[in-house]
Amino acid sequence: MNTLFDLLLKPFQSLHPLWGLMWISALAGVMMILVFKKTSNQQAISSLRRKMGSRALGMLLFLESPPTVLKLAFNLIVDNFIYLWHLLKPMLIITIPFIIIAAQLDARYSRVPLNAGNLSTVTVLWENSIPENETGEPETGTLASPIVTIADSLEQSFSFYGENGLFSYSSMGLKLGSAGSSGSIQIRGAEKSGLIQALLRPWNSNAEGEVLSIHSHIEEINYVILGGRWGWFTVFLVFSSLWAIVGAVVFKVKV
Amino acid sequence: MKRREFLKKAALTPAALAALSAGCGKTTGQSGKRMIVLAVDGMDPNLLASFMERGLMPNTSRLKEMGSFNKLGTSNPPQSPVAWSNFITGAPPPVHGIFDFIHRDPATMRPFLSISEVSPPDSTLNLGKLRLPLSGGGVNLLRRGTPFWNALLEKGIPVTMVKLPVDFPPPPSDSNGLFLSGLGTPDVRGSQGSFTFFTDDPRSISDNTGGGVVIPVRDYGDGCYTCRVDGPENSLIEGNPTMSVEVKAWVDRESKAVRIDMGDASVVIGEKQWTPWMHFSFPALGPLSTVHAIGRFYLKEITPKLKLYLTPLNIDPENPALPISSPDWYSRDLAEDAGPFYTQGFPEDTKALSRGIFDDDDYLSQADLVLEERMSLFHSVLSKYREGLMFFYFTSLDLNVHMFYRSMDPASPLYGTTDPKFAGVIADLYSRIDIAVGEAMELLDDRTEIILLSDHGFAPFRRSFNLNTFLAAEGFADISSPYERNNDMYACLDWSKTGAYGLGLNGLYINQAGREKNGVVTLADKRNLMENLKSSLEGAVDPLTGEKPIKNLFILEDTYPGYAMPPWAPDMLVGYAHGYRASWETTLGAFPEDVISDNMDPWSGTHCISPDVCPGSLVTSLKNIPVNPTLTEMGSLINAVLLEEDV
Repeated sequence: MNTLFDLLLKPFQSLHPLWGLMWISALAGVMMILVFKKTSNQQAISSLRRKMGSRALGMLLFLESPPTVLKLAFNLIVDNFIYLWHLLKPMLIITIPFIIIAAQLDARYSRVPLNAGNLSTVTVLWENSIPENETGEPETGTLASPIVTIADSLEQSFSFYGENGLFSYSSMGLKLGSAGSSGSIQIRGAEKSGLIQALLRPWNSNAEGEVLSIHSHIEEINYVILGGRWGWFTVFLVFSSLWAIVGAVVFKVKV
Repeated sequence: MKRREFLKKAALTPAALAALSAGCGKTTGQSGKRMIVLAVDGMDPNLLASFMERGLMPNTSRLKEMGSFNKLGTSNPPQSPVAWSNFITGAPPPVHGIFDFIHRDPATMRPFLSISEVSPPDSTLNLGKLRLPLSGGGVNLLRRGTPFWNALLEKGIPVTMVKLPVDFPPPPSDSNGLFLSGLGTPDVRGSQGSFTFFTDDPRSISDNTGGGVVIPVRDYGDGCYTCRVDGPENSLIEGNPTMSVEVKAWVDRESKAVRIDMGDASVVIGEKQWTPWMHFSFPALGPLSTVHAIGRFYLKEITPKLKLYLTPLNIDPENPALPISSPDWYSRDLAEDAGPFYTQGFPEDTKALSRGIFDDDDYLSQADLVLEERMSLFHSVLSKYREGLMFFYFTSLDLNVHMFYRSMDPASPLYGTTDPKFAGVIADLYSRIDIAVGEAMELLDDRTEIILLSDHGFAPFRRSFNLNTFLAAEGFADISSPYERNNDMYACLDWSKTGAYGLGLNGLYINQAGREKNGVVTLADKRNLMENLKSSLEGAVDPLTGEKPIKNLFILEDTYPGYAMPPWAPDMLVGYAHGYRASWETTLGAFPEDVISDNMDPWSGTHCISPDVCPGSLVTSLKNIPVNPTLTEMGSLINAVLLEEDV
C-alpha cells in the first residue's frame, strides 16, 4: 500500500504537500463514485428517487387532503429507509478503501516535518526492563533535554529537535520523520508489526527488540486555504466530495 | 454551461485554491509616504547617547546622522499608560482620562485599573446552575479621545499598530487597520500577569506572594507530581467557580529532568530549561464553550525539591478568549507566522523576581525569551509592511531597566549584592534594539521615514517615599488604628480627620466632601489645603541624604488649566526627585513606619517621578521636527508626513 501511494504521489514530490493531498483527494473522490456505481443497484436507486420525487409532489398537490398527505408522507419515510438500504452495501464496500486512504494521508500530510527548530517529544515504552547505558548522541537531530526515566511504567521520554525532516537515535532503535520529499510517510512512532499496523497506522515503523512502542508528539499541520486553516482531513473530505460530485455528473451515477 | 466547460473549471479549482492559499500580500499600489514607528518603552536619552558614543548602537547613530536626535517631552505623570495615551490622542490626561495605572472610584473608594474594565452581562438566562448571558457585558477600553490614526484611515492609508499600549480591547477595524493590543492586555485570569509556582519546598510557600500563587505539590513515591493549574473564573456557572486543568509532572532526579503531561501534549525539560508554549483548554460549558490559553513551564530546580514555574496563562493569540486584535483574525495570522507569543501587556515577570521566585539568571532567561519572541513578531510584521503607518512596540527595555538599574548604579542599596556579571545587561538590551532599528532602516527610501521614540526615560529608584506616612506625620491624615497601618486601602485611617491621601504611583487626592465616600474637605478649603500640601511636600528633606525627595508637586487644575477633570482624576501629582519614588506600600494605601526607606526591591529603576527628570528619546530620519518636541505632538507629526502636509 505504501509503495502504491508512493507511486501515485511521485509527480508531486517536489511540490507543496497540498498539491499531493488534493490530487489523492480528487482521485479518491472519482474512484469512490465509480465503486459506488459498480456496487449499487443503479436502476433501483433511479426508480426509487423518481418515486420519492412523485410522492413529494403529490404532498404539495393534495395539501387540502390531510389523509392523502399523511399517507404520502408515510410512504416517503418508507422509501427513505429503502434508499438507505440500497446505499448500505456500496457504503460498506467504500469504507474499507476510505480508511486505508485516510491512514495513508494521515501518515503523509498530518504532521509538521522534523526540521531544525521544531521541538518534539518522544516516549519509548520498554517491554520488560529499561536497558542501562542507553545514552549517547542521536545520529540525526539534537537532544533538547535529558532523558526522563519513569521506572514504574518502563517509560523513557525526551525532547528533541529534528534535522532535515529526521530524527534518529539508533541505540533506542528510533527513527522518526521523513527525509523524503513532499508526500512521503512521516514516521512518528513504532509498534510491534502486524497487518493492522501496516494498513491502518502506516506512520509507525516496526518496534524491534525490547522496545514495545514509541510515541512522539509532533505538531499537526494546518493548510491555509482561502484564508482559513484546514486540517488534512477537512481538505480530503471537501476535495474528494467535490470530485465525487464531478464524477457522478460525468459518469451518470445515481446517488 | 456545457459539460466540457464545467469539467475544465472544476479541474482548475484545486489550482485556484492552491494559488489563493499561497496568500497574496496586501499591495495597495499606493505610492505615498510610508512611516515606521519603533516605540521603545523607557529608552532613556542619556543612556542612548552614551551607548551611541560607545559604538554600541551603530544603526541608531546612523539614523541620528540622517535626521536628528532629541529629548522627547513626556507626560505628567510620566507613566506608560498616561504617556502612550497622550501619544495616541495627542491630548493630555484630562482628555483621555488616564492619570495613573490605578484610579479609584470616589464613591466607594475602591481602586481599579485605569486602562480597561470588564463589565458583567446586563441580563442572564438562568437554567439551574447555568448562567447564560443574554445582553451586555464585555471588556471596555477606558481610554477616551480620538486616536490620531483615524485621520489616516479616513484617507484610506493603511495603519498597522502592533503591541499598541493602552488599546485593550482594540477598536473594530477593517483590514486597512490592523491592531494588536499591548500594554494593558490582561492574562486569561484577568490580572496583569499572575504566575503559578509548584513546589514541595515549604520554605517557598508563603501567603504573601503578590504577582502569582505558590501551590504546594507532593510526590507520593512514584515520581509524579499532580499540578492543578487554575484558569479563569467560569461566569457561565452560578458562583463563578474557577476552571482548572490537571498537569502531571514526572520527575527524574538522576537526570535532573521532568516530563510534563497535559492531555495529549507531553514535553521534557531539564533544569533551567523552558518548555515551548503549551496550549491549555478550560471547558466552560462542556465542548460548547472552551477558554483557550497558553503558558510555558520553567524547571527552576529539581533537587532536592521541585520548583516548577508556570508563566501567567496568556490569552492564546490563535484562539483568543478576549479581543486582543482587530480584525480578530490578525492575532491568529501573526501567531501562524511568528509562532505563539506573550499577549499579556507586561510579559517580563518582574513580580517573580521581586518575590524571590526567580533569581537574576532565571529572570534574564525569561526576559530573553520575551525579547526573542518580540523580534520574531517584528520580523513578521516588517516583512509584510507595504504602505502607510507601521507602529511596533518593544517593552523589554523598560521592564529590564526597571529590574537591573541597580547593576549600573553604584549608589543603589542593592549595587553591592548584584553580581557584577549583570553590569552589561542594559547595554546589551540597547544594542539588541539597535538591531531592530537596523532592520527597519533597510526599508528606508525617498518615501519612507523612521521614528524611534520612547515614552519616558529612566532614573534610579534608591529611596522609597511613603507618601501616606508623610501625610499622617504632617497631620494631613489621621491614623486611628496603628496596628493596621501596614494593611492596604487605608485600613488604619480615620477618614473624618483626613484631608488628603495618596493612591497610585503619583496621585495625591483631597478627601473632598460630596465627592469622596467619607469626604470632609469643603471646596472652599480645598485650594488652601493643596497649597499647604505643596509647600510641605516640596520642603520635605531626606534625613539620610539631605536631599529633597520631591522636586515638584503639581496641582492638576494649574497644570492643565481649562480642562474639566473627571471624578477619578487625582487633585495633585507628586513629581519625585532623581533617586526617589513612591513606595510600593503607599501606592495602595498602606502606612509603613518610616517616611523614607531604602528600596531593597530589585525594581531599582523608575520613571514615575517629575517629568522633567526623565524625558523620552526621539531619533528620526525626519529633518524637520518641532522645537522641544513632545510625545503628545508625535501623532500630528506622523499624520502630517503621511498625509503630506506641512510639518
